[in-house]
Amino acid sequence: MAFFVEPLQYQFFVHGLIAALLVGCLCGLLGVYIVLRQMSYIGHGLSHAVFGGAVVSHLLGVNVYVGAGLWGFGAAVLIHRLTTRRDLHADAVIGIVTTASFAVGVALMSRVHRFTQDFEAVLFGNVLGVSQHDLLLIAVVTGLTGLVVTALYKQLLFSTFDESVAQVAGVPTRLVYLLFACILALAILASMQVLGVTLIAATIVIPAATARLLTHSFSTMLVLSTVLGGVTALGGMYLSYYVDIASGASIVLCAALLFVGVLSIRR
Amino acid sequence: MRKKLVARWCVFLLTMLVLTLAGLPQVALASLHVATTVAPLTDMVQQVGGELLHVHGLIPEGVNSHTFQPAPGDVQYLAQADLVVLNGLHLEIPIEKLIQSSGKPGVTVVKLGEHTVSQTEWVFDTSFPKAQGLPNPHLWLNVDYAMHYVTLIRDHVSALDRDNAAVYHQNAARYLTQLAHLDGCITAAMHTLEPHQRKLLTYHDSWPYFARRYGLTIIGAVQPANFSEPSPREVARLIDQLRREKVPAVFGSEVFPSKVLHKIASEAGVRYVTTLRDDVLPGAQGEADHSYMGMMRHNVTTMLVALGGAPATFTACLQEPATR
Amino acid sequence: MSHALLALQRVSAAYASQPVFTDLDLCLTPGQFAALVGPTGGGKSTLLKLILGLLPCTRGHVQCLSQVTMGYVPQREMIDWRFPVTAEQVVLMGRYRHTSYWPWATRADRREVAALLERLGLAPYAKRHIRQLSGGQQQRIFLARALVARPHLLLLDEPTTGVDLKTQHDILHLLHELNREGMTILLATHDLNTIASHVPWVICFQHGVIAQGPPETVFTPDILRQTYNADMVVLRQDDMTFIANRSLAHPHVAQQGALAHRPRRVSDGVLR
Repeated sequence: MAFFVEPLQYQFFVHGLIAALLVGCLCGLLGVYIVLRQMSYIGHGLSHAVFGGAVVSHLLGVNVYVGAGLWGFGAAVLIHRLTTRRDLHADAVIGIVTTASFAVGVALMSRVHRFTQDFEAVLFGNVLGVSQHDLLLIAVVTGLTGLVVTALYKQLLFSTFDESVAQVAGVPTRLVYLLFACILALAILASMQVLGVTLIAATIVIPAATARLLTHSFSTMLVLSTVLGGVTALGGMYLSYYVDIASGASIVLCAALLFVGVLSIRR
Repeated sequence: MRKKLVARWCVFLLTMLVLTLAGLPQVALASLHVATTVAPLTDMVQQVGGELLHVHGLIPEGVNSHTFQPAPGDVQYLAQADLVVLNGLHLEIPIEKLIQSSGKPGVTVVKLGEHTVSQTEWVFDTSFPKAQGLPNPHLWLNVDYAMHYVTLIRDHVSALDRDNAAVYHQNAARYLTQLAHLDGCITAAMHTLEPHQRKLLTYHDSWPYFARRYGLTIIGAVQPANFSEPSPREVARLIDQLRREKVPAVFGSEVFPSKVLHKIASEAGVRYVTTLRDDVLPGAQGEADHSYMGMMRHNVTTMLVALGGAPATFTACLQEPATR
Repeated sequence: MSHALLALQRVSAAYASQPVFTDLDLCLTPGQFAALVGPTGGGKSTLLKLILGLLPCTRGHVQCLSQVTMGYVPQREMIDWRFPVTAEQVVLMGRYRHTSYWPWATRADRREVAALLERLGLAPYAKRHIRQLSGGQQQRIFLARALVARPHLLLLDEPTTGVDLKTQHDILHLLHELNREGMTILLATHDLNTIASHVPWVICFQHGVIAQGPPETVFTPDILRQTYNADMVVLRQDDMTFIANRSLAHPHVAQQGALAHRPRRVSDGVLR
């Protein structure tokens, strides 16, 4: 019992634990859709893409987070358009759009020497530095995502499985995707603030992939992925405390170990 | 006819010669081109050279000097530079590489830090671990070392521009007096702090040489090596230490907004101050404070206020005239 | 044209800037059961997608009677078989238009789906993952998904590919029943023999309509050569029709390692 309680005496750890739990669940939930649409790289990609948006919005005098969020949303929509309209696969499109977007940020920064802040430090946070304000933000985004995913369960399922037939059957697929891109951008922005960039890709992909190994049912996969995301986040935080390693890396390790464990059992 | 032509040519050539000779003093005053890196170094060179030097600082203020990548446009400054003034100690590796590939042939490159301290005086710590072999490069925050930087700068520009050596020596002498005075005031001011107040916890690890000179202890720097994340135990340790040792304040950085340090401060119940600078000069270009000395005055005042010392004593000391 | 369920007027379509067909005129009357036949790459799938609104037409006009709902059964290669859904869940998806706003399936939804699965002989497989079904069962599940919405017009892309003859027969009989109940059906296929015996109206299509009409009229060597750019043999016996590609139907024998035509003996004794 003391094992669990000891780190809780530190407020930074408690906040970090709650933040990791929420983000783990959030990314686990959205990860199901990402993995099934075969866009697994998008988490990592978008977290770099928003860097371009942050730089541009700083130059225009717009709030950095608002600008980065809108830019991330735009990138997600562009990715979808290019994937469906042309003979390109999602992985190539994500690579092109997100790295180009990041490069825009880097190019502008090197050209316009007006930046007095390390932008990466602004955008990419640390789970150990989560403030109450951050917790509120992440809770709101998680709640919103849960609501949207529940309300649009059928539409999202059908669009993810077979977008053309869904359209014929009357699902407003374009609107559904726009909404999805919106919550994805928000989720990634909020998660980046809390976790930093190394974690994003892992928290989106690994719990969903693990859940897929455990079930054939879509709804069960959603629940499992969310739970696994939360559990590995909690486990990772405790692991990082007791083994004295960086929290981000330990959460990823936990998730990866679980995946390997499930894979070997399922065989 | 031919004689008249020859005579006219002679007059023409003589006139040209006279005019050229008349113009020569201006050519003799033509500036030496000096390229520097961080703003404090740029200011020091300007204090020594004044109007006589064309100085260009390659690293804009506020940009992370450790990871600054020069743009191709910076090449033109390096190609013109007769003298390149670097801090050295691996602070400006990308610029050093650029000099090798694009510098003027025969350009003089001086690495101030490497001529100021010997290897035995190098500081290694958590941000600059001994295992990696790269020492902490932030020598200029120690005013005594800064004075040595100024003498090195003076000697190099004088060697390259002998005609103005006297002026450089004069400027340097005046500046060194001011710096010596500042050094004395800082030492006195730090003595107004109680022993338990003389502790520095910063985000970016710029202060070990300053601490060594002025009797402060560095408790730690939150930004670990390679700019990675601190582990929860390290954070817990810092919080416990701050509480135990009753440290009054911790110092963040405007260039690296650190949520972790902010969190440590709020949980330990200490003040969180973000206005210490190691390579950003306060105020705008042209203002009196926009200089290395202005930056050090600002930093020391900030520290004194945050740690519970007497900033008034420091201000009063600065207003006294500097004597040799 | 005013009584047509669906009318295409001078429609052109392109795919990846390559024109697929230009100035196409086609119409379907209510209650029609037609097959679109032609070679691969001839534009059949493109035409279906155009009708469904999944592809834009570069020129021309697709006109539908208002309130016409369409059902679509795509080619089996287009489906992601690894997606975690059961047979029942796939069919439930098709209920979208008639279902309530609740995110979960209602009792009414489940009843409809169960009844349809029963009718198609798929009730025992309702809870199985789609990959665990046989080819014929998979085809029927995706057909059920389209049917559960009770469409006026049903479009199928290669419904008889990759299934055995008996299943092909069953699927076409099912389609006949639905047609008798009033559904308009258009299916695209390259399987001529099954169509010849099961479908009352054939449209020969190769980058445009070559000919259309009942199979007896349309399946002539001439029309088929224009459609397939190949010599086709049409044999009629009693009221059965058999169609084959002449060059592919000749016996091919192995001669010294290479597969080649066995030379034909002709009546005059000369080998050709």
